[in-house]
Amino acid sequence: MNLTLSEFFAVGAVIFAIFMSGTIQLRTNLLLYAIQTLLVGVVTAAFYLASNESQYLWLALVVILVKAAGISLFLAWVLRRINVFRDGATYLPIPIAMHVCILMLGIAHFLADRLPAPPDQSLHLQAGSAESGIALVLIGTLFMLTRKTAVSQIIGFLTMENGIYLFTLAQAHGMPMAVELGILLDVLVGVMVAGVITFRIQKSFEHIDVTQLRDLRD
Amino acid sequence: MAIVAVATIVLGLLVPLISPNKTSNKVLSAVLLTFALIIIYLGVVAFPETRLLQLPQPFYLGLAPFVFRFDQLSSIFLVLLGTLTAAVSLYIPGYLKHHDGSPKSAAFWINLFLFVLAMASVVVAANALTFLLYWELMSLSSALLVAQDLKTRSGRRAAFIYAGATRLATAFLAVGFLAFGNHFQSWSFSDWHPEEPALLPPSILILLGLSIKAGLWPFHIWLPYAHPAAPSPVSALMSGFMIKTAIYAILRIFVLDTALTPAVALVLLCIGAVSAVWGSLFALVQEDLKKVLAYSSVENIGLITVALATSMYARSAGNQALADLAMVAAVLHCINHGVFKALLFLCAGSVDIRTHTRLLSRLGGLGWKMPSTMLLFIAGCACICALPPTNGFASKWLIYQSLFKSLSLAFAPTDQEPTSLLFVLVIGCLALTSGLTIAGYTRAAGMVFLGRPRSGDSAHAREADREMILAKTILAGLCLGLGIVTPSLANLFNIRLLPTLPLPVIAVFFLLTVLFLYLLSRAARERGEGRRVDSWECGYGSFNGRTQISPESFSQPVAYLFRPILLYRMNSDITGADRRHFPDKIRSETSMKSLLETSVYKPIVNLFVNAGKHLARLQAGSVHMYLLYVLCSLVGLLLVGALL
Repeated sequence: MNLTLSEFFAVGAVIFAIFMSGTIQLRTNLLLYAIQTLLVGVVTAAFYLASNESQYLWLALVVILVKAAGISLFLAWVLRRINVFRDGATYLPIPIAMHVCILMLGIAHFLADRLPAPPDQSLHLQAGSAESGIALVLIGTLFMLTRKTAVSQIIGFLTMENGIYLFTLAQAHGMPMAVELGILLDVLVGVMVAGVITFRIQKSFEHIDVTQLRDLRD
Repeated sequence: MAIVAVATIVLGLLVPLISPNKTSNKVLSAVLLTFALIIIYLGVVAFPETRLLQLPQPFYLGLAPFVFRFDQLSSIFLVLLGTLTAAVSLYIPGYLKHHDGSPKSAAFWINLFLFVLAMASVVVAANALTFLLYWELMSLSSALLVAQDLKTRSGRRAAFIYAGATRLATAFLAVGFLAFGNHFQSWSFSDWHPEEPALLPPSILILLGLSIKAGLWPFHIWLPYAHPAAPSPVSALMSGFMIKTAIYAILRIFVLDTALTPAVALVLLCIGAVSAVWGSLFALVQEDLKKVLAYSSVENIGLITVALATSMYARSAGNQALADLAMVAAVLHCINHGVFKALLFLCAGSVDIRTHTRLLSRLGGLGWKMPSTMLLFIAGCACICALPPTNGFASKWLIYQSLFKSLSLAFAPTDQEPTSLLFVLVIGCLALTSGLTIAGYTRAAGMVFLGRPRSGDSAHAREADREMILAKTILAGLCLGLGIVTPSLANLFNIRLLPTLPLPVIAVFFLLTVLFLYLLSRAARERGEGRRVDSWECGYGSFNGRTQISPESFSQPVAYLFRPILLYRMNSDITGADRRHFPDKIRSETSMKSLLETSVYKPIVNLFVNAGKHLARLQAGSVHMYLLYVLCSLVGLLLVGALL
């Protein structure tokens, strides 16, 4: 197999995401999330090397600083505050969850082969990255689906967001800078709010198990 | 003129913002009156020449600009709307003052202003997107006006049915408009010429959407629910103008400058005739006064559609003069029906607020208590029954004329026997309709105003306020005036075929007939001996509210005749030892259901409700279930997308 630099890092991000679904230690989850996001940032930097467009470099910096470092530190702080470090129980046993993740990667590979080619072929790096993007979205959803604590939901959501980001990067060579930064800001604010709400849940219910929040419907 | 138009829109939008809660009803109705006068002014100014008015750049609908077109057709409708709104604005303060369970005043006024604004904009919209936008505004604001009383079951039901009907109509319209816009590469109505056979499916979709709004059979089902639930002034506007906007759109898209295939015209002709008969038949047997009026709207929309279809047919057959005549008949009947139906609804509203009931079986004898209202109501009835010299007669006469003339057209090519037969049948249906209408309104007026009160409420009624009488008098005056000027109105359009209407002769003949009948009845009364009650009271003693003719018994012969359609059933139960001569108790019970409602709409609605109940189980309340749905549908959709 002949991987380009960016594809290599993108697939690496997926592998770390699969690792992430292999542990119930929330701090390890966070660490693996941070590495995965770092790799996504590196993919962006690889795009800069291939295309020499400075916007990718800036984007890479922002992704690494805000998403990989900032959000991870914030969530680690939240965990310390509410004094929860383990995900109680998962819906799927860990080994099966990891295998399903690998299955998702397979589905993503199958899908990415059938995608329409992006308009600009010059960078030759889309296939692997698009595949990783789809895989990250699916793995993130699966992560949210199998875990029970509120913090895990946030991490799963962030993984999905990474997947979407990677996919647009591969398929459309990224969105305009302004849109990209806007989405980043959205995610940042979303995570902040979710973190604060996690405090409130912990304070009100003395747990952060979202499966108990069943009556929130009409 | 552009400034006035923009000012109108701004006024319409601003008024809701000035917190109607704190302003008195009289001030708001004065503003509404001003608004109505501006609309009339716009209509009058715009009549002589066609003008386009495009809003400047920031107001843009994504694919097309906001464009309004003032031409002859739209100015006629504007004047009608302005007139009705003016009458309604005079009427409302009195209505709100006495209305029990008064509608929430702020919401009522906001929706009313939006409703009037939307109706005015619908008839001047020049392109499909502008039209659709205001059409939606009109539908939503009227749905909110119908949904004034959500506490009662019937109120909720009415709101649900009406909202459902408007959603369906908009859905059909939107799909049809998209197809048209795609095909002609333009959203402007003036570029749309749907003659091509390929455009038949979208044309049918648009016609479906419009006929739901117009209340044509078999989509009339919302009318008898929405009108009793809505406040009377709103009913007057809805029935008087809103359903006509659909007719306006049919005129604008399918009748002016285009010729659809004759098949569509003939289908519309049949539907119109069926609506007319169906509406008048059901109006005759209704219990609720406002339902009588609602069904009679179905009937009149049917008549208008017959004229429209005749126009379409004549145009596709190449007879331009006849097409123009039929179109003018349709437009004039729109105007006339708008005026007299508004009059009747306002009268029904006065009866409602004074007696707190609309059931014919609880009304009666109001003629002594509310003489002006009775006179005005009877004037409205005379118009709707098309008695000369009222406006109803003039426009119905034009409709008949165009049908007779198209008969000769249909007979001309010898191979079109079935078509001519169809026209003969339609004329027959219209004649039946006229008869049923007269019976229905004789019943309505008689049961409400004549005889003796059937309940305590109607025994203690008082006359309506002066402003309300004034509003109705204006409309009644217009009815009579329009009857006289209708021929000259028709002359405005340069109709070549226009037959001369010997109105004075007819009027004199009619008045002589009335005089003759009056003298006859008087002679009969003078010769009669008066009533004497026997000692053993086998003459059932003196009359009271329960011994007079009842609404059910009045319509029983006709209801019995049409029992398969009405699902009419009558059970009599006579008990007693010698039940033949000295019964203890006689119970008689009639029941009636609408065939369409019970056997077509109910199963469909039940299907949806049941499906909805099962689907509601999907809402488990668990975040993880929702995520599972998301994941499954995501993977599924991606796979479908990749494999197809």
